[in-house]
Amino acid sequence: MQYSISPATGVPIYQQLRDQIAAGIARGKLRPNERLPSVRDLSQTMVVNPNTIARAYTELEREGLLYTRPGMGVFVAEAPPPASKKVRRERLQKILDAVLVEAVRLGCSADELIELVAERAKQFEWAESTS
Amino acid sequence: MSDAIVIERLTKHYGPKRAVDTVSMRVPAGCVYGFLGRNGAGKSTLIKMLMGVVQPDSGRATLLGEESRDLMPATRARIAYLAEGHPLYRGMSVGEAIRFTRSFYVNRPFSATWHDRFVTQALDHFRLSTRAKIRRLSNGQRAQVSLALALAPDPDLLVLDDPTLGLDTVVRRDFLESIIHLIQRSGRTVFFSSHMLGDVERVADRIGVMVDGVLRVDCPTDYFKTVLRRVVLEFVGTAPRFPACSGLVSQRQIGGRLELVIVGYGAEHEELAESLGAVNTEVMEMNLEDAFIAYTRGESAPLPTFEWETAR
Amino acid sequence: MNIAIARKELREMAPLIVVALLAQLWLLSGAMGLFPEWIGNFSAGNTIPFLNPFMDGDIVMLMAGVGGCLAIALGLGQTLWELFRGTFPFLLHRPLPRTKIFATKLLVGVGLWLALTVLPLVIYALWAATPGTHASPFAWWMTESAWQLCLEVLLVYLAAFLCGLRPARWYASRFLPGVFAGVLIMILLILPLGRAWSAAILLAACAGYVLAILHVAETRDYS
Repeated sequence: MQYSISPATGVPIYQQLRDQIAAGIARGKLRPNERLPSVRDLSQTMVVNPNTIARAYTELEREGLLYTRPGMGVFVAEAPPPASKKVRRERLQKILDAVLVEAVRLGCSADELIELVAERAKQFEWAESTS
Repeated sequence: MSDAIVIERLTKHYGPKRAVDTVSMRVPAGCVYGFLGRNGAGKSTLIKMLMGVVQPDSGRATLLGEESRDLMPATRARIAYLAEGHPLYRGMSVGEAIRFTRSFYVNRPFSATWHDRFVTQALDHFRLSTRAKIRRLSNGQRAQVSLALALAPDPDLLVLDDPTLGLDTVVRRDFLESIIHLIQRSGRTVFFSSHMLGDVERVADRIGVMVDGVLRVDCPTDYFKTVLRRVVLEFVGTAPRFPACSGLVSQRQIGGRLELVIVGYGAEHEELAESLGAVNTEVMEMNLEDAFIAYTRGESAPLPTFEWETAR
Repeated sequence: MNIAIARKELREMAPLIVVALLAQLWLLSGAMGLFPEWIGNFSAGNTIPFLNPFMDGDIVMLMAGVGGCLAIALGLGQTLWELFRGTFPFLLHRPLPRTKIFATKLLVGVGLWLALTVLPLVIYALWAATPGTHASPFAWWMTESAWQLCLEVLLVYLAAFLCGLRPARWYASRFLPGVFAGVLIMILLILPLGRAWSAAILLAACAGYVLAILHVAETRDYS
């Protein structure tokens, strides 16, 4: 997977990298148990301070998206067991509402938005069961 | 971990001007420190005082635990210094410059190292011939020779005075890659000044910003980006001045808009904005370049209005 | 003394050295009449070697003059050349005590003074002392003023070095060490001091200049 960072934004570099890896996992570009490049290699290819890379990896590890096997490297974690339906709803509703507000403001119809969500959803990896 | 550089109240006057004004800072071993400032802000003078090339009026600096005024040769051998503009003896060929520099590191009474293989590899990498005359090299090539000579003794501390100044984009990227390569060996400290904010953000753990001889910012690079916010307040009619408060870096008034740059924007600032009667508040993240400009431009007058537009 | 720095100095000053060497060879061979058909024989006629160094066109005076010109060019060259090219930060960061760097520069200058001012005069004096080489009287006391000239050339070199190294606000005050050396030399010409006293004063002045140079080298700002 290719990462690109831009100094022109207000987002710190470690966070840009964190977001890109998180997105890579959600979209299935990074598979569970896939090995990520070492801090050293990534630092050299991206021309970024190794501490910055290490910080992004540590954050992702704390969030449970990556895990380290000592002496082997950093790997993508298995997808976590799905959260309960209640928790899922609570978390998503808030984000969804923000999208809906913007959609109404832009004069978008409900059908148009649902269509867009379906289209975008095709680009992501989804868990098998939805109970 | 110990500190590679300790600066205590370093001050230097040039005539009535305070080029460096009681600057204190510490650079921990293993840190990459990006040192920013506009031309004439005193970066170069500070670096020259660090290296003992300029004598401070007061204050002191220690490099690798030794007073910088009189570094022992053995300590100097562990420090690489790239002076501004990469000075080298122009009459020499690349090979002669290497032999000249090498002679100060091999067969010395103190322990010093010199990696011949590294120099050969570096010259191969940069496609430089040992027979080329230094005076015929481009700026970029001279910078590359300087870097190879500075790194051959395997230094623990590198002090680089605007190493990428005047280099084209490709050579600059090469240079950055070399620095990244260098800091892979842990414990190596790099202190460099630069104009290129993007470069600094990529490689620096910490940054310092110097304004008119004073060190205004000294913090981790990520932190600088996270805590600085541009806040735009909108008013009905002409915007008032924002009162002095903690964290206020700069303000600019453009008609009914007041643009503020604030460190750690919070409730205190929100209340102040409300009390001034702001009708709309917008808070934005800032990139390093905007943050740098906010810090270094200082208090700027409102933009002049173009009278001819409104007079009609 | 550091060999690498000494070699660098000699290389940088090579054009000066070559010019001075050719001038001294030309004067010397002319004075000794080695190639009369090309250079001529300066000692022919009624000139007496070493008798009066202050007469027009005297060989001793000319040789000392060449030495003096070299001394000024060398003293300024060894300092200003580094300053103008901005190479001092590079040179001073070499792991070597600063005193040693400057002592090496000075030793190179003193070596060149020995080789290009003192040695030609010594050869000329030996030639003049050898019986049968020329038709005029010779005694070793006659050479004393030549050796004093040599010491004066050394003083001029050190003064030029200090002029080049010492920072000054404006150009005229930069030449103060040179003016001081010149005044001292004039005083020694006028005052009827003995040779030994003059030599002692000149040597003391040289030592003073060396100390001043090392002090300025240690304390000045190279920016």
